[in-house]
Amino acid sequence: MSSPDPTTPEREGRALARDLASLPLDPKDERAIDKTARWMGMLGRFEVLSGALVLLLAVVLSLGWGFSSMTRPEVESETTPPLVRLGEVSSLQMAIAIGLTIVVGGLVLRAGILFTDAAEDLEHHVHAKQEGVPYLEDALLTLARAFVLDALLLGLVTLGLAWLGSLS
Amino acid sequence: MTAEPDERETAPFLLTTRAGEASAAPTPSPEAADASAADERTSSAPAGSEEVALERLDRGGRRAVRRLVLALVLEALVLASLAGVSLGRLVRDGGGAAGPDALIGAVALVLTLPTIFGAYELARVGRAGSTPPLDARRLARGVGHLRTLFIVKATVLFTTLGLGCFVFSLLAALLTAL
Repeated sequence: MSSPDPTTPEREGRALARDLASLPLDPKDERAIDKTARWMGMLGRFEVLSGALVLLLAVVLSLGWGFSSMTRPEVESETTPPLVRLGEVSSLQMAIAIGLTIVVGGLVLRAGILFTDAAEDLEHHVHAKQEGVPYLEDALLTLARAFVLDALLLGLVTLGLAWLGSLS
Repeated sequence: MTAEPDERETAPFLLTTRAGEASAAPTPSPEAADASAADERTSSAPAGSEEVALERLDRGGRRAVRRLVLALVLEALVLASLAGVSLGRLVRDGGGAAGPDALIGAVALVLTLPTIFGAYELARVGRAGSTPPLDARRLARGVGHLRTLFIVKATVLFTTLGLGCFVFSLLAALLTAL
């Protein structure tokens, strides 16, 4: 059986194809995709770092909270009052804060991993294309998932800002 | 553009085009196998069936582009609402102590534009003709618009991380000194 040739003739000077894997990219297009992939990879690594830091913050918060709830409050000295007084925080508020921190950290971390994966697939498509491996298709699907997570994260930030606005 | 084929007609071609979909294809009947062998002997697959196989290949890429476009539209909507909320707060507060709001609003607005441009270009990747083939130039241009988005996001994230670390170390040094 003859294998189908997925490319179609050029139309109006544009390179056209029937599937993404065989999409004929000229060097200029390849450079554009390559540059985007590099920045995407950099953003992904920064997001992984930020997500890990936020998760670490959640761990520190929960450890501190657990430790402070175990110890009995000290009697304040009248002559040397405490340097910083954070005010009263209920257990529910603390649990919500820790939960939100974990959710945000996890979302940022996952989005970063997806951005890094998509960048690697795009770089493979440009530099190490292999017959039958749909790198570009995989990259676009992974990128779509990363953007959905990013939108979710930005939605949380928007809700937070709106809530803060309603408080003041 | 051919009409939607029935599954038996597409199955032998799927085996040669997409390994991932091969398991989903039903086993061809003996009559179909004979017909396939006859095709092998004459080495000439019917043009309509090739068109069907190409259409299958086409569909995967088109789906990927469509999903990316939808995700970008969602991102643009959320970014626009974030800009709206921030600028709304800025206007309500009358500019007093509203530095962060102005900054968030400006960054969200700056991020919204390349997202919209990228989504627009990518949405037109598959619309070059009546049986739309995929357009390489538009794909590269759409991905290129996203580069602006990544640069701004990476810069903002890097600055936030750097400032956070700076403030943290400053606080730690202050507390240690006291």
